[in-house]
This record gives sequence, structure tokens and C-alpha cells, in this order.
Amino acid sequence: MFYRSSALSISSRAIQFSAQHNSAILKFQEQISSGQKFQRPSEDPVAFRQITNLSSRLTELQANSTSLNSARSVLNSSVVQLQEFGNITTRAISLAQQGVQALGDDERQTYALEIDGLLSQLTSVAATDIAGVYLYSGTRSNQKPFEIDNPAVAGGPLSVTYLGSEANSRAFVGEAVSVDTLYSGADVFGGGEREETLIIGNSKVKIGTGTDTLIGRAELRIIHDLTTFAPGSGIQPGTRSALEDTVIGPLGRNSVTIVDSSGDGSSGTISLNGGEPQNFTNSDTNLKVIGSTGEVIYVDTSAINAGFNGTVDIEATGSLSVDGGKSTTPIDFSENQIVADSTSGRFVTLDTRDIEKAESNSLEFPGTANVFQVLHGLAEDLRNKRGLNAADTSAAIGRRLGELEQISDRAFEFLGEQSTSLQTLESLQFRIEDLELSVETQLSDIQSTDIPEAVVRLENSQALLQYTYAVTAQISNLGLLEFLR
Amino acid sequence: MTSLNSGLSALRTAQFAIDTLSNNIANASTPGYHRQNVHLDSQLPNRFGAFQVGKGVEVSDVERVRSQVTEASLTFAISDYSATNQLLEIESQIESMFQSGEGSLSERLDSFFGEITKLTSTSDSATQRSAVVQQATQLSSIFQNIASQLSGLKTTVRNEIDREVENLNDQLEGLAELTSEISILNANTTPNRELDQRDALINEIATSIDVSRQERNNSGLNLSFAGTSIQQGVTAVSLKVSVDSADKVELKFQQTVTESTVSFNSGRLPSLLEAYNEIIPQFEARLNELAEGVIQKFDQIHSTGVGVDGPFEILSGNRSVKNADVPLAIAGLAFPIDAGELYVSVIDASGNRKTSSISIDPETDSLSDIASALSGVENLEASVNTQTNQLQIVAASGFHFDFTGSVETSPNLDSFTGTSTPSLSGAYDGSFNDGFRFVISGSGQVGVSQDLVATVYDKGGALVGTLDIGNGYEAGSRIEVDHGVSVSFGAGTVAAGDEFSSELVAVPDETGILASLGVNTFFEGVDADSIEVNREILDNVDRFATGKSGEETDHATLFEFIELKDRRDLAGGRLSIQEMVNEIQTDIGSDVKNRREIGLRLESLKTRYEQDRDSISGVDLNEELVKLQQFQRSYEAAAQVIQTADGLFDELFRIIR
Repeated sequence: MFYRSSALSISSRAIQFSAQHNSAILKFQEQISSGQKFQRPSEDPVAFRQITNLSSRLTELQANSTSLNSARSVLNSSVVQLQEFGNITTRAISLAQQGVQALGDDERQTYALEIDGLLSQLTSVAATDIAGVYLYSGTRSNQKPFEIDNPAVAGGPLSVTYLGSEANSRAFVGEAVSVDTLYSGADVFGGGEREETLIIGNSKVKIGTGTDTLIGRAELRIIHDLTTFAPGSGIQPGTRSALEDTVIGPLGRNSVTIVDSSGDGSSGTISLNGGEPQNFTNSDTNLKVIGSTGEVIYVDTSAINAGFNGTVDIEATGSLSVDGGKSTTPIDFSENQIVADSTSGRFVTLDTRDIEKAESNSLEFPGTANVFQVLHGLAEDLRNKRGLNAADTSAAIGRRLGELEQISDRAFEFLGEQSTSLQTLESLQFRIEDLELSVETQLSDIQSTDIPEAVVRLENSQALLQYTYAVTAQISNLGLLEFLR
Repeated sequence: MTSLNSGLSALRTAQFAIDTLSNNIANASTPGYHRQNVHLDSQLPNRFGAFQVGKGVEVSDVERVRSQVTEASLTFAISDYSATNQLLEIESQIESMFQSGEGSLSERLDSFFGEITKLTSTSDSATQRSAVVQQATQLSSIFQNIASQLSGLKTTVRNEIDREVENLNDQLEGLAELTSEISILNANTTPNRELDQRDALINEIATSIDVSRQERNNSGLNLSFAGTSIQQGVTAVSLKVSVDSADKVELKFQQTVTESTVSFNSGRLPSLLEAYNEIIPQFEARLNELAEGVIQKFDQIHSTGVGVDGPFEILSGNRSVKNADVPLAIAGLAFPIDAGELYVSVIDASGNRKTSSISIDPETDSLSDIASALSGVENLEASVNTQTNQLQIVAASGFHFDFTGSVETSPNLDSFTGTSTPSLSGAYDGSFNDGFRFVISGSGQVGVSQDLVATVYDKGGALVGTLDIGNGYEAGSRIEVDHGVSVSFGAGTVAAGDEFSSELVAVPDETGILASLGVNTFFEGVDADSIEVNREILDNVDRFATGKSGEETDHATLFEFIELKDRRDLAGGRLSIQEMVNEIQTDIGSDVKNRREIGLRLESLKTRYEQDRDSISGVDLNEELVKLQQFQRSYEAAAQVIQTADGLFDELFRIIR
């Protein structure tokens, strides 16, 4: 049996196949024009899922790359500043070394001036910001890290208030890696480990057994309060005793020896702690007596008991202050006496058992000062603002030198840490770039049109369409009617 | 003289055949036309003795050439093809909604998380925060856009169902009328034209619903719709659309007074029903599940963080419950919550932080109970807005609060008699909520006296460590305890037996209630239709919770957001956010692909059946022309016969004259 063909079947087939070929041509046109093999998930759901995953991954990698570049930019800036920090401390160390060996005050003054300049530079380094983001304020990066002012109390350290946070700010840079970018200035520029407190002076006050909390340096004022004498001799404190006596000690620590050479108490000699005897008369109401080690008392000898010859114990009370006299603590002649700075609440523990005389001592708390305070302290010591003797001055400058070396080491540690982070970021950057390239290649392999193949297929479809039209036209012309005419 | 009669019959028959052929030729391009074939038969002969002489020819039948099997198969194929094509059309639209590439849901999600990553390192945080919020706004718009498009598509499909049913009812009515007409005509003639019309109408009906036919003699017809045999008489059956309480559309057959639910298997109408009742709601549900997942998980993190604006003086929830006085489990919360602890911290003007915890059991606690419990926290007042049933929390003047669970700087010192002030610092990095209890051994001055020790225990009573706070310890300095937490003891005294404790919070909101109530959330709304970035954040991007401290570059919360991207929290813990988007796209893509392939196969089948039908019933012009030639010759021959007979008659007349 033959398959009958009708006019309708010929035309419907012509329409069907031309539509089919046109559809294919449209598809190849889309592929070639857009450069993408797929426009819709339904064209190849599995490939499309891969494309979506890869596109997501690419976006993620691009975001990571941006984040990484930002982090790198911050760390690069920070590294430059830390290098500058290192240079400043190195120069300061050099100046301190020269200061120790300086021949005179003028030379040290010159060094002090340069140290002042270095302090200004370092203040600027610590306050570095990128578009308002401070590098050394930790997570509080919109806040200038340090507020630096003159010492709050006389003889105290430079007033440095850290306004940033203790926590470093971290950045996510991809591939489960995060790095610290904005460091805490307290860590970078702060002090190190507290060492044993030093007292510079002749008061015989010693360091207690407690752990001090004061930082940097402080002036310890040992203030004389009241001198009293054991009864029986008739000796009394002089009129200026309270203000000008320097002797300090519990009853019996100090004593005066009185020799009534007149026999009626009107005149004789008096000596303090075995010092040079000094003549007195009963008209002396404020006689200055100097002891064997230079201690001083003022006495009233107007009423010495007749015929008194002997030794009289002295009790001299005093008080201590580490805040320039804003607050005082009575000396209790104990092993562990706490003297606090009323401004900061920080304290020092002192052994006041052997304290002998009122004077001003210097306290130093090595390892606790931040770099600004160390530089300021160095300048102060170069100018000998505490009035130390030459040996103490050199020793103090030597200690600043030690502190600077510690700070310099720490600066280079941070520099090393950040450089390592930068190295990590660089490696990661390469890895991310490789991954980006790999993802883009995979995307291209899956998504991009194979142009030559698409063109060949387009040509094929075009040819088929032409054949469809040709054959349709051909068989449309072929009919019995043509022969009946 | 039979020859005249024979000639006449031949003339008439040839004329009839030529007319029929002419009609075939005229309808060669008429869709649904079945060619007609004239069948001839010789007339009864006259008997002449032992011989018969034919009387001529007559038309015995005008056959409507068709194959019942092919016609029935074609009807099936039309029905199946229409069903598939309709679903393909709808699913292709859904596919376009979820389409990937520029501006797609997938791309927006990627960009959103990408901007968050960039925020962790940028030196221009304020601008980058705006960029994150901007991306979130666009993400919300995409969700809303797709939800709106799905809803619009559903409405269109619903209207299409009504239109389709109306059209179908007209067709069924037309079919009844045609059947009636055929039965009347059948008594006298062969109603080929009407039968053609009926075939065409049935195929038209088949595009809407599945219809099968069993043809009987005398042009009778039994039609089955959805497998149910319907005697197609003069009274038409009709369809009615009804919607149940779950917004499911169903169809009912109405015949006279009876009504029965019908479920079609193929044709456009059941596809429309499937799209309306199942496919579109399924994608709406999946989109909402995705949106809810994004909202809930993101808000759970956000609600326990703070922006650079820092802790709050006042917070109002943006999600409400239906009833504030019934247990939360039945109060109509936006998202379900678990039983657990909620930690809230109150911060004084000096920055001292105290943390309290509230136990929440959704089976027993109402929103009002939660408000009361929060009001029990010192310097905090919470209430339920009676108009909106939303939670509002206000700190006392000079105080702030948050839900970050950050380490409390000022622990409760009720059991601490010394003058030293202990304080805590750092960030707890444990993985679960715990607590430290510090017990002092020895009495004396912190940092001065010998043998002063603080022993630290965890919440379970296990020893964490011992801290020497006597001589050798610098009062006020931090000692790291464990898990990132440090303690310091200020200058002063401690006494043996003194103790204090502090909560360590890894999960500030174990319940998820803050997100459910919209307290300090990033988003508003609860699903794809209503998702929006919180208006307060849009007004002030500094409210975007990037960390736990309120400090400019504290990125603690951002890291949690970044982790969220790859966390498999959705679809019962099976998928991450991005995986779920991919799955939706792939599923609809696969559906469309399969449907397209089935559609192509069915189209090919339908075309094949149409060609088969045309092969049998179609008009071949050449064939018709051959036949035309044939009958033209017959006509000429018949005329010659009549002419010959006429000559014979003339001869006879001449004899008579």
C-alpha cells in the first residue's frame, strides 16, 4: 500500500520542517551572538547547576580578592609605619647611647631636642589613618588612638591615654583565612613586662614586697611632719622644726646627745646621731643641728634641765606622696606600705622601716612605660629634669636605652608579624587568582559557545532550511494540472 | 430502449461524481475535511429471456474516507500534546522567574554575601555598610518580584481555567447540537459535512480535556471524558469550577441536576489545574522557605549583634504575635522558637556591663510573660504594644542594653566583701553557654599580700584554673582565664571565701525569639512576599549589626554572616542558602527540559497521526484530477450513448413518418 500524499500533508510537512530548522537557526544565532551556550536552566539543567555553582564561586572569589586587596593595603600602610617606628626607636637608641657618653649638659640638651622631634614623629606614626580609619586603634578604628599630654603630676610620666580598643580588627580574606589588620595601639606602642621598681635617692626607703601598679616614673616625696623628743631633757622642737627638719624615724632611731656644760642648763653642746657637737644656749629657740649623714633638726634649747647630760631619743613622723603632694600617706615604718597616686589610683608598695630623712626621691617602674613615655623620659633625663647626679643621670639614660631596645624589638616583632600576614595574603592572592582562573576556565568550558561548532551547525540548519524551501517549491510545481494544460 | 436510460444514468452519475470531486478539490486545504469517494453500482438489469441487459449505473454511496483508529489515536495525541504544551508554557515562565545571571536571585545572594566579606576589610566602612544594605534591598526586591510574579501567574492561570471551562462548555453545547442535527439528517442522507464538523469539534475539545470516542453505526457516538462514558445526546453536559477551602480548584460535571467531581488526565484544563493547585504553590512554598530561611537565620545573628551606633536605649519588635497572653507556641509567632535562655546585658553610662538571663519555654510562656521577665532585669522595662502585639524594650535613663552576650565587665559582687573590684574582659570563644565562678582563698591586699588565690570553676563545677592575685600580680592587670576571657582585680582587698560568678555566652538567644519577634533584626517581613530591609537600618546604616561591641571595625557578627552562607540550615539541614537556590533553578530547569522533550515527542506523534489521517482522508489533487478526467470521459461517453440512442430514435421516427 502506498502512502497517500495530500496537499495538506505536503504543506504541513513544509511548515513543520521549516519551523524546526528556523528554531535551530534561532538557537545558534543566540549562542553565537551572546557567546553563551545556555540561556536557560532547561537547556541543560546539570550544566546550568554547575554554571550557577561556578558563578557563585567566582563572585565569592572576587569578593575575597577585593577584601584581600583592602587588607593588604591596610597592612602595607601599617608595615611602612612600623618600619618608621623602628627607625625612630633605632635613632633614639643611638641618641641615648651618645647621651650616656656625653661630655656635658649642652650635648645632652641637643640630643634631648632631637628626641623631642622623634616623639613628635612617633606621635604622628601612631595616629596614622587611611581615610579616617586609624591603623592602631584596634576595632575602635574611627577613634584617634592616643591622647598625649604633659605629665598629670610633677615628676610623673607623659600623660598618654589610649582611646582605641584592646582587640585587633580582623578581615576575612577567603578560603577560611582571616588576618588581623588594624592592631591595638596599646600592644604596638605599649609597655612590656613590669620589672622591679627602682628608687633613686638617699632616704633609705626601699621597695616593698607587693607588686606596684604605677607606670613609668614618679617623684616620691618624703615629707617631714613632726619631731618629738623623749621627756626628761627639756629639749623641744624648734620653731621651724615642722617645716625644715629632715630627720624621720620612729622613736629611738634618731637621738640627740646633750652636754650641759654650764650645769644650770643655760649652755652646753648638742649633737645629732653622733654628729659634730654644737653649742647651745638657753636663748636658742630654733637651733639647727646637723647629723652625721647630713640630716637636720631644729631645736629649742631654752629650757634644758639643769645638769642634764645624756642622750634623748627622737621620734620624727612623716608622710609620702607620689602625686606631687596632692595626696599624702603617713609613714608607718612598715615593710609594705602602699602609696597611691590619687589621680590614677595606681600605687607603689614601699618598705619604710629604714626611712631616715625627708627628701624627694625618684621612682622608676621599668618595663611599664609606653614608647611615648620612654622617649619623653629619655628627653627629661638628658635634660636631667630630676636633678640627679651625673652617675644617676647616666644610669637613668642607660635604663631608657634598655627600654628602647625592648620596645624596638617589639616593634620589629609586630613588623615581622604583619610582614608574615602580608606574605600569607600574597600567597592567598596567588591561590585566589589561580582559583578565579580555574573557575573562569571551567565556566567558559561549560558555558561559552564553541563558535566554530555553532557556526557549522548554523550552516547545516540554514542548508536544511533551504532544502526544505526548495523541495517544497519543487513538489508544489509538480502536478497533473501542469500536464493537462 | 435501455441504452437511453443507461446513457442518462451514466450522464447523471458522472455529473454527480464530478460534483463530488469538485468539492474534494475545493476543500483540499480545509482542515478536518475528509475526502469523499463516490461509489458506483450498476442498476438492476432487464431480463431478456436467458439474458440480462444492464439498465445503467447509479451512485451507491458517497463515502467519507476515514480511519476510526487513526482518528481516535489523533484525538488522544492532541489531548496529551495540549496538556504537555500547557504545562511547558507555565513552567517556562516559572523558569524565567528563577533565571540565573545578572539580577537573578542567585546573583543577588552572591553579591550580598560578597559585600559582607568586603566590609570586613574595607577602609571605608560607612560606604561599604551602605553597599551591604543596598544589596540586601535588591535581594529583597528580587524575592518580592518572584513572589509577585508567581502570584500573578497563579491569577492568570485561574482566569485561564475559567476561560477554558467557559469555552469548553460552549464546545460541549455545540457538540450536542451537532449530534442532534446528525441524528436528524441521518434518516435521509449521509451528513458528511456535519460529521466532519463533529470530528473537528471533538479534536478541539481534546485540546482542553481528555476525550475518547467509540463510534457506532449510523454515525452514533459514545464519548468518554476522563474515562467516564457520557452518552452525548441532545442535552449537553457542562463543567463547573469550584474552589475548596484550601484554595484548590476542582472541576465538576453537571448533567441535568446531577453534579460530580471529575479529574481529567490530559488536555490543557487538567494542566492548568495542576499548575494552579500544585506546581505554582510548590514553587511559592520553596521560595518562601528560602526567604524565611534567609530572614530567620540572618536575623538570628543580627539580633544578637550591634551596629556602630552601639547598644540600644529602646527597641521595638517589628513582628507580632496574634495573642500576647497565650503560650508562644500557639501565639502565632513568625518563626517557631525553642525553649532555652535569652541573655540580655544592661550597660551603664560608664560602660559597665551586667548580663542577665531569662528562661523561655514556648509551651508555657506568653509574650506578656517575656515582657515581665525582661522588666525584672534591673534598669530595663519591657512591654507589649496592645495595638500591634509587638514587644518593646526600653532602658532606664543613662543605661543601654543589647543581646550580644558579651562578657560582663561588672559581675555581681553580692558575695564579695573585699574592696578590690574584679572585672572581666575579652570575648568568650567557647562553643556553648557556660559560666565562671571565682572563689578567693586567703585574705589581704591584691598584688601585695602573699597567698591570695582566685580559683576558677566552670558552671558544672569543674576546675578551670587558679589565679595568683597576691604579691607578683599587678593589681588591675588582666589575667587570661580561659576561652578568651580575662579577669582583673583592682587595687584593694579580698577576703577568703569571697566569690563572684559570671555568665559566658556563646549563644545569646538559644530560643530564636528575638528574630521571631523582629527585635533588632536586619529584615522585616516573614516571607518572600513581605521581605524588606528593616526601615530603621535603611534610615541609618550604622544600625547594621557588624559586631558585638559597637566599635567601628569590630567584625564579629560579619564573620557569623559569612559562615551562614555555607551553613546547611535549610531544607531540614540538607542545603545551604545558595544550594537551595540552585536546587530550585535546577528542578524547574529539569522539569521544563523533560516537559519539552515529552512535548516534542508528542508533537511528533500528533504530526504523524495527522499525516496518517491526511494520508487516508486528505485530498490528493492529482488523484482527484485523474478521477475528474475519468468522469469527464464517462460523461462524454454517456453523451455519446445518448446521441446514439437519439439516432436510433430518429431512425424509428423516420419509419413511422
